[in-house]
Amino acid sequence: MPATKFLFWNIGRKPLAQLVSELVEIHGVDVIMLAECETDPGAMLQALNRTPETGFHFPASLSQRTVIFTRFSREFLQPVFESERISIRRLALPARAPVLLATAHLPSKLYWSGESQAFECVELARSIEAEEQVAGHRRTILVGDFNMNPFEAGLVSAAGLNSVMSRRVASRETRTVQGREYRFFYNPMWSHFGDVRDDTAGSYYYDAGEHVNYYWNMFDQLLLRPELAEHFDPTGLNIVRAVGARSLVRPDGRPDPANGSDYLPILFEVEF
Amino acid sequence: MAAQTDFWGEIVPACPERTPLAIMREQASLLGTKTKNLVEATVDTSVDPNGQFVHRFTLVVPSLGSYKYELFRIEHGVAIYPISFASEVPSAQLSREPVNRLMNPRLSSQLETEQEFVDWLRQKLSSDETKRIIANLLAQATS
Repeated sequence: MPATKFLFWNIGRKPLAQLVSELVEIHGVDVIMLAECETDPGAMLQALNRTPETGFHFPASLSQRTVIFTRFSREFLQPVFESERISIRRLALPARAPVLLATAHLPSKLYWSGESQAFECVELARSIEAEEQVAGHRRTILVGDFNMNPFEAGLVSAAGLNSVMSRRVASRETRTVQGREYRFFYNPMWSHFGDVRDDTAGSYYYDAGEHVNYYWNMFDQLLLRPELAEHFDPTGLNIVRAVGARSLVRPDGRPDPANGSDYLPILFEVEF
Repeated sequence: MAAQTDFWGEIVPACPERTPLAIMREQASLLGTKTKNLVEATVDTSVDPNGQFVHRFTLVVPSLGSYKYELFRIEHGVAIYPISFASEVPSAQLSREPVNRLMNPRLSSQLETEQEFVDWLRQKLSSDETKRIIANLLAQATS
């Protein structure tokens, strides 16, 4: 099955069009999703399309928290449901199975309690289920800045996004709680916690200065429905630490806002 | 056998002037006529795991494959009031930088009475932001 390459990056309201463009060119990205992007779409397109070979498009959207640019014609990426923080689009490429691409940028812990964040995931899950019903399939890619870690209630609870760290578990497709059936997502971001690869032990570093402090967080996440997870290679998912010769992290592994954003990009491929 | 005793007494529906759901549905029904049914509005209700009633006010564009845009959402318990709604802070304030949480009130706000809800809803539906969204949808629906 052909693979499509995706980039998600919270660029933290920084003017990083040139850096995004280089990252996209180096990795052959097909779909770019940017949170906290204050760069004018026209300026971003100019940076992305600086060579004649590239032809990125900006499919218009009313959802402003995450903007999308794609190599594919806009007609192949049509929004079906949106709110200020959520966008669910139908990605239907020629001779490929259509998928739903959902992007989310959920409220920050600065403003919402953990309980409110969790209930927001319930609403997000409900919106996705509704669009899957309309689409007639469950090939859904959900990506975004959830402002929650993969182990938090909104991500793992059955009525929330019901996402698990194991493809084998997710392949059961559903689980039943109190007689109600809930559909799984697979969350490959679990595999990127910790310093087994290098000093970058997550996608976002925050020293909270309080009793419970994880230091490294994984707010930026990719979730896949089991049908897509089945063909997904987790080793193809990377937290990007450098763009060419330019490091996005400091010597201690933390994101370097002087060279990029406070948050690190995630790159992944999905076959469909 | 002893006659059954009715402990229930008379049950009459609580009669607020209008429920929030009825008010939202009434406003939703008015949008279609203002836009020649190019942009319509619906109200969907569900109950969240916490037992709260959630009413979503969604714009629908039938000519764009029934594209939907959730304009806002309110929540309330069985007592109806207070109603909670999520208000958004400007994106410029969104940050993961450490700040004193006490200085940052939560996004969720509450409406204590029907009059407060009606005033809030009027402000929401007639706001520049809502008009901008509907204008954009109309432009796409007619292009």
